[in-house]
Amino acid sequence: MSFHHREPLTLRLSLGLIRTFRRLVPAVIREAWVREWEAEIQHKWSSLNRRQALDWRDRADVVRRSTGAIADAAWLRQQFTLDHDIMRDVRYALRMLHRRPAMSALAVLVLALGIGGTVAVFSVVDTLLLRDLPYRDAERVATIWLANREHPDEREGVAPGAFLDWRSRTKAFATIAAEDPFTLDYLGGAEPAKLMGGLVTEGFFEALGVTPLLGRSFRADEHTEGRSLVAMISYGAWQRIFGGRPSIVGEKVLFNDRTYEIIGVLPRWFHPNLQDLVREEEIWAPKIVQKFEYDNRRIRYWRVVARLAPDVGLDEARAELSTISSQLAREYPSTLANMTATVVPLRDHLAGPIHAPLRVLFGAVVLVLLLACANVASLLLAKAADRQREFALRAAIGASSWRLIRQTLVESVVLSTLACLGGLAVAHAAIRAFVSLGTTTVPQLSELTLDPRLVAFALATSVVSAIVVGLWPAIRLSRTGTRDDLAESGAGTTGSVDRRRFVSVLVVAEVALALVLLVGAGLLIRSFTTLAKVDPGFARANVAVLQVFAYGERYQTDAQRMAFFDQTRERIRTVPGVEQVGLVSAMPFGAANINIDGGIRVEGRPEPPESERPSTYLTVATGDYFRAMGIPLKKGRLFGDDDRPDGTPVALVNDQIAERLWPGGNPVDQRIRVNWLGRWRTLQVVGVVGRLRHESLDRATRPEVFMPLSQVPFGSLTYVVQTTDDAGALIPAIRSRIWEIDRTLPIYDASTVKTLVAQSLAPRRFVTDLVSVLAGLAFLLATLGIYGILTFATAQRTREIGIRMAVGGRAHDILTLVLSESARLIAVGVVLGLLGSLAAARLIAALLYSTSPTDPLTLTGTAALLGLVALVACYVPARRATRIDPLSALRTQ
Amino acid sequence: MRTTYSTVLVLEALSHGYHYGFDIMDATNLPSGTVYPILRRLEREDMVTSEWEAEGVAQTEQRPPRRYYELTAAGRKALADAADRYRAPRGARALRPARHSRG
Repeated sequence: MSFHHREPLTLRLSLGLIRTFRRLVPAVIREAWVREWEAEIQHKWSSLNRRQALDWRDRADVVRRSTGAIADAAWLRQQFTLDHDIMRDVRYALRMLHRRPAMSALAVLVLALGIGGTVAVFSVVDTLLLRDLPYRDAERVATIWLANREHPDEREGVAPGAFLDWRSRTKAFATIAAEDPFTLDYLGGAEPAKLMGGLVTEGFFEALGVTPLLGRSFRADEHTEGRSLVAMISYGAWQRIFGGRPSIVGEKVLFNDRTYEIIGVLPRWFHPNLQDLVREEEIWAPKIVQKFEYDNRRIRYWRVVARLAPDVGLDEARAELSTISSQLAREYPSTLANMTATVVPLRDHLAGPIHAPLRVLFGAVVLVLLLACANVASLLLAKAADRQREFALRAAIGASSWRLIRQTLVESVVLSTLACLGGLAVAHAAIRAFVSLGTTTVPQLSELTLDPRLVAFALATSVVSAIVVGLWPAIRLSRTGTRDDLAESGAGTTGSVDRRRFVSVLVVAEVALALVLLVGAGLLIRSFTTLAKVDPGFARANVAVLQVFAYGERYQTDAQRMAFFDQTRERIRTVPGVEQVGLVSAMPFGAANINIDGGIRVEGRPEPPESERPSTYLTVATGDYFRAMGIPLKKGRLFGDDDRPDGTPVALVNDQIAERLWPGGNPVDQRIRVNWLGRWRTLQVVGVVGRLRHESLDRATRPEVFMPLSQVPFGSLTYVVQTTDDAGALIPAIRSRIWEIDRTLPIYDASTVKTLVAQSLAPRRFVTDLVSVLAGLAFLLATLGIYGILTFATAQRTREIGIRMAVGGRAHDILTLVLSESARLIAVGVVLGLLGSLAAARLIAALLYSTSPTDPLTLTGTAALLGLVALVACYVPARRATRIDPLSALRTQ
Repeated sequence: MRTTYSTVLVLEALSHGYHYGFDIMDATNLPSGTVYPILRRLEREDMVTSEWEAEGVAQTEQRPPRRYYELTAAGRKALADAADRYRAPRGARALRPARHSRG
């Protein structure tokens, strides 16, 4: 029976066990053996399913039954090879585990957490970085962005003119295509829906390497004027809006006021996510490049994808684009002077904002796994010490040391096999948590599942950890076959030098590993809180935002648009709890921001050389926008009713551009000229407002000039509604007021300012939360581990301490003796941990916002915290040592 | 051959019409890691024979055919001898004839 992907986890686990252990079964009967076990498990599963809804007990029962296959397989092997030992070892190991249920459960639990965490994070790494992308030859595909030479990481969209220049000059790319963001409104459903999407130039899907699931993609002739309208839709839109009916291909659908023929549906996995939107692209239509777009090198809003030409590497392509960028910068200094092209491989683009943190996360998880191994090793060691006499006896009657090593290894393999099962359960839960946490950040995470590869990874992890955990105790014990051990049985004197060294190494390792993680988490938390406290330039409480696009049949003229906005504003004011209703063209942190920038000059000043001409973002707003957002007015006045369409054109400038153009002076009443969509306008400055952050809190503020909506009509605007109470609760009421005026107008991205800011922080929060959880786990493991191992080590010294007390040692001296030895170990661990943190600094530095990876406060703070807690963990066993009764201690053999 | 208590339970279950590994587990309350080695040993000693169930049944349930086990005359005799020795083992009393025999 095959190993279906869609089978439930329990069944997959059980069948996976059979698959794993069939190797033990002699080859001649292996096939029959597998068939028999699979048939029983599947029969059990389907009869359970038929009878009732399965609860966890039923699932556990099925898994428990399948574990019998291990014993069965081992038995069969023994029959065929007469290798009784393995079977006996397994049985013996199970008996040993059974004899100490608490210790065994603890060991399994600790390892399960370590293995489960590693598998869960590995699944993210696997999905985003390792697994083959479904795009054809995905490693030859890249996205290309414009970026300022000084901030190459802050990538922006591409101005249409720049893309067209690239396309005509590049030889490194076989196909280069652009997506011009657009939206279509679908009114056939219960509520008007806005579909985000793109008009795409020729070869867009070819460049990405995607073939439609249904239908076809655009033909070359569909990119020319005068053709009937065609569109392709995403799998999601097909399911959500058109009920997933296969007949959709060829259907004519009314969007806005025009009919499009749906010619193709894209595959389910296709989330190019080019527009950095919280909501993804759902519809595409052919782009017909307009004449004016060839000259538009200023507004950067297209998205570009490209496929490398055969035999061209990524670096060559980068070099070529860099050369082209320099040429363009010389040819068009006013728009492209400081711009360069940033090539981002498709895989990195798709992994999005958690691409860089993944390595840190993976490192953190491996540290936790190592800690778990250290803990289990110390448990095994404690157990091994108990059994020293047994081993010595076995060695004395002729067991080879290989035989003894194997016995111990089999025990740890059995232990870690059990832990592996637990670990898969932990991983399953963690993956579910990732999916719900991370999907808004990285759409690809929705494809995260626990698949057979991960089960294999978990098995490999547990085998490796079994060896790591078991080898040392095994070798240690195998060396005990001397007469001394038999006579002493270990518990008498100070314990052998070797064992004490092992204890020391474990304590030092636990402290060091935990400290590296704690420092990492500390830095991330510090960075996150610093960032969350950054002032975005506006008061963010109780503001609702709703974006609309007033275009189309009903909004042909500016007057129609203005009437609509005036009426809706009045209506929204009637909603109880609404205080201010502003409108703005570029909403900070908004998903579909309209960012327009242009040149700016102060009237009466000589024109600076072309490359030094300042530019600014240009935003259309009403006066209430500033009041609703709580943006401070620094000088002059806001826009008011006096700023009529026929009055003097006015502007507000933010203090950033004011400082640049009028250092130390007063811009109010100065006249400026700005290039608004290619036309120069003269404006009188009436006030200065505070500067804002737009994309995210970790990006710099920007120069911005505001023009009043009354004088600069605009169709794409966001309502900014300040409310007395919870803004989110009023959104439905606000929305219905807008629909009272126009029932067919879709409202895009209704949200609150608070949510928008939180969303911009979500990727960092995801990573910070995860690392914090892992660090917390590490802290717990280390504390428990140190406590456990020192308790063991002190117990081993009972007799020695007894002698010391018998010859006059005071409790105080004993306490000092035991504590100072532990303190030394902890100090060594702390130093190593700090060195480890410094080594990891470069890895984590990329994730930090205005926090140094060697931040002294974080380093000393976490080191002190861990050191203190570790000392407390030492104190308890040390304290116990002082209560040893010398007489009974000496009597212990 | 050793007839341990567990072996007797398995023989008893077989005689009551439990023919499949997992069903025998349920009937005897023994873990699968014990039941299977016992079955294999009994088969080697010719106290039990095994065959695959009919393909048709398996196909309707979309799984491989199950393997069913049956007592031989030697098995019945071994059970009778052992029952004398153990005097109505506790587990055996709880056994009821299975509802369906082979598939």
